[in-house]
Amino acid sequence: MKLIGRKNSSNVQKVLWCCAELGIEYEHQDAGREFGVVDTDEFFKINPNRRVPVLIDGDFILWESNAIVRMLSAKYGIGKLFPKDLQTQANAGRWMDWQLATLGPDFTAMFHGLVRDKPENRQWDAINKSIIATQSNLQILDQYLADQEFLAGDNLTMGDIPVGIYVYRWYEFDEINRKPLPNLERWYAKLTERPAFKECVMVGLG
Amino acid sequence: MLKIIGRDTSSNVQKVLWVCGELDLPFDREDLGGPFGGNDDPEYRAINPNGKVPTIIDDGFVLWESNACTRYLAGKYAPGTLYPDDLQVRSDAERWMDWQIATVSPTLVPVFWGMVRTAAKDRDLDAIEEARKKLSANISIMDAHLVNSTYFAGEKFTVGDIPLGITAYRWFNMDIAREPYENVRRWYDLLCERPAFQEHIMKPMA
Repeated sequence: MKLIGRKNSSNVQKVLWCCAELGIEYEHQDAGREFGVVDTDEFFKINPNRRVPVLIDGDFILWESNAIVRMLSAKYGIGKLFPKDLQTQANAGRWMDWQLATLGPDFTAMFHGLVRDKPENRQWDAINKSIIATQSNLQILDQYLADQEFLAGDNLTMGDIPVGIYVYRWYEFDEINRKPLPNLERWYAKLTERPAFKECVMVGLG
Repeated sequence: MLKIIGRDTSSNVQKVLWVCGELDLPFDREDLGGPFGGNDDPEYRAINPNGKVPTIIDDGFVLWESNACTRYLAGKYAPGTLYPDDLQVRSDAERWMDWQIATVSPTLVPVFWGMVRTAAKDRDLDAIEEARKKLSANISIMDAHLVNSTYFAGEKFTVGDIPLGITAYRWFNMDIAREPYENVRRWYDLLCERPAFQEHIMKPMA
């Protein structure tokens, strides 16, 4: 099995973290941003969407990061990352979709502004809007974490993965004022104790 | 009985309605969102702090995020058909669902708002055309995929066709220029033969 995509991409990190939790072995190839590759004709054949990550398992090719995490969890982690119970599965899947639809898009302006733009080029209006939206998104997570350990119950599931990567990034920024979210902080502290999270996600902002 | 909360003109609510139509699942639907308002009502926020539609309540189980609801209902009521048993086929289907949220929707929204929700005299036609080109680039990815495949995840209709099927209805029914994507057209014509698609999707856009 081969995984294509630079290790500092949040979307690639979802798959790296998932594989590390489940002890899945794979061959890795860098691609995207500083590594290029995604603009080549060969890459277009495996992913016309031209983004990372891509997973190649024999003649099966899959792209879209959450779809890869869900597939690997269902193949190698039933009862662990992939809950057996359909409702728990649906709850976990909901947080993955919510990261794609809401948390991720609201986060982008802040991340690009604070990490990729030079200080003199920062668009503070957009950054501040993004910070406010993210704070309110994280409040939703905090509410759900009030009476459960993880996002889909008392165990880590695939539902914690996409969101966990964003929360790492949120707590890494020096420039922002964060309102306290005690349940989220407790959950996040648990993630930071996991070797797979340390290895794959807590690697700085790139 | 299954309860669906959300106005039936919302593309995200339509995903759930279409699944119910395919499976002959009875449901009660309550209008909320858009012209009906109610997204910020405390009673609604108590079950869906994200405030968007749809929310479903299935025998006491509350779920929101449209694709998660679609997947849950298909997984519960249509394993092996709408929700494929084979993990690779299912992952293929779910990839196109994720892609609709992450990539297609952000390119459809500005075109849809410009053409459907903005009065003709107020339209910024240059901005709409810019957005339309990005949407068209995504439709071209769909077209390339459908060269070798009747539906998105193979020869059978699955959950993977639902979010993009609603996108296709909008693409073909907005008053915009359209490149001749023959494979998308062929697939879309098949969807138009489905009674559930006719009932829940093929209606005036609002």
